[in-house]
Amino acid sequence: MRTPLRARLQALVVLCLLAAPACKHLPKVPQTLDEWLALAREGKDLGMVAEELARRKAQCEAIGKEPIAWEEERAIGSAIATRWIQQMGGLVIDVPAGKSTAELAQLEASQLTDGEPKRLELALNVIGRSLAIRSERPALPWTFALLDSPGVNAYAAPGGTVLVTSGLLAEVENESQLAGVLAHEIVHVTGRHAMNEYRKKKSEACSRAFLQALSDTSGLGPSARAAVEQSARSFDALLKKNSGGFIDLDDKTNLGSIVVLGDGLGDQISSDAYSKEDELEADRQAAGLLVAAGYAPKEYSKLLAGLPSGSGPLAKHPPGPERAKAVDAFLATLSPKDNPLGYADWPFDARAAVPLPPELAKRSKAAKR
Amino acid sequence: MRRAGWFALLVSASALAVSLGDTLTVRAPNTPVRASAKPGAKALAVLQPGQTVIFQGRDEKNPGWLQVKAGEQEGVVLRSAVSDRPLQEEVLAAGGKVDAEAFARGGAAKSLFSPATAAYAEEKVYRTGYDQLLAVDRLARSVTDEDVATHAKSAGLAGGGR
Repeated sequence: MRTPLRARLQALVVLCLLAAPACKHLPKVPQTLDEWLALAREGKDLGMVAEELARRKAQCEAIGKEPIAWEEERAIGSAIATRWIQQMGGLVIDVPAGKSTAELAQLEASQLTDGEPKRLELALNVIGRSLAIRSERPALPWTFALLDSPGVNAYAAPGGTVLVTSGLLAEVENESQLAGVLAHEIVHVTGRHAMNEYRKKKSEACSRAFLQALSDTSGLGPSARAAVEQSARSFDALLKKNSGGFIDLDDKTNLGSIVVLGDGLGDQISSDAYSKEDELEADRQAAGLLVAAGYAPKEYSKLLAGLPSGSGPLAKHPPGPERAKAVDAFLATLSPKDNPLGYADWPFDARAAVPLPPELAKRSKAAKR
Repeated sequence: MRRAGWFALLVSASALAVSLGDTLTVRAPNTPVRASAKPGAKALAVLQPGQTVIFQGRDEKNPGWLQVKAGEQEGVVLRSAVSDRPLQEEVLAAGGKVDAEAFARGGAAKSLFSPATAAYAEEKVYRTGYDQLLAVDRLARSVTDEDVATHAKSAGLAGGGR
């Protein structure tokens, strides 16, 4: 295997210490990013710069394999949920007028305006929680909400926020089917499907920052070059911390990272589906959650089979009949070992569909019109 | 034939169920170990996800509850609040990998809001979205596992209060 140029140069430097006069014209190996940036700006020692770039790219790829800390997931997830609610028509909820954001954060549920929207969101959260506590991440702050949007969709933000559109509520015939949709979204969170995309985005942003900064920047104006170099310095600092690539998004100086990475991720999730494999896995595990929570899982496959192709991510999911078939195939594999706590009505084929609670049924009916 | 097959499955289901003395993992946050199988009965202990209890039997009159031993306390828990399977580990910025119990106890998961969320909403002028998320978060945090059990019972769900 060929020894990297940088290592060979460092070895030469050691030799030079022993025989200094012979090595007057050796290039100095930069020690800091700013020295590398200076070298790149001058267009000197491009071979050495290229090797440095490769080394940093490998470091960026390594942070893309590290697990994401909860604090980072929460910051990205709550930003994405805020963005979706703002951009997709808002939630079905009455927010007390005249309260500051700080005051709202201190309110108890009992202090929120009573009425149909409150009852409806509470009913949705009871159903969602009955599934989430059976998931692999029951301790997350799971939050379920109804989006006032006619599109037939549901979304899961990292950290445990699940949004269902009123258009989708209009499609479900009963609570069992709605529970299936919520369970599917829960599995996207427990499977960290969005966070896996985020890790890729972070790793790519890191590699791109060094590539741009250490490439020929002569075509850039001073401010553009400064921005490119600043981005590289941010990732340089991140790599030096040796913290598994953790970005402290709670630090206000990193707000730009939420905007760039979070907005990009949120838009990707809301306009594209996850991979076909992730989607089918979410369907299978959703069926498992339905079984554990006492719902009739066949209702979920029935819903999938009849779903319209829809728009947005739903249009990019595998076709409904294929999903329904995969769910039914999964259910057929369940055996008594999947019922260790001895639920009395196992097996579950005889389970009946549970009607929607009155608040949700009323809204579903209204949305059908 | 089909009926006979289901019957065999039911029989073997009970044979493969958890046994007395097996360890169960708590899944639901703030799970009370109660003195008797009623939602309002005295709470002998309150457990967090990842903590374990010892299975001591089923309550035949109240199949939604299991008899357990939690430390020195003997009582009942909602069947829906425990599982025979372990939970995922989480990663905290300061503590690295932690088990579900440490995660639940640490308080980091008590809110979906990051200190950065308000700053983000302000930067993007997303006040409506942020305030609505705050309001629904208040509602979500008010839902208890006993609300879930009550709903399960009234809806006739197998996993809850029945």
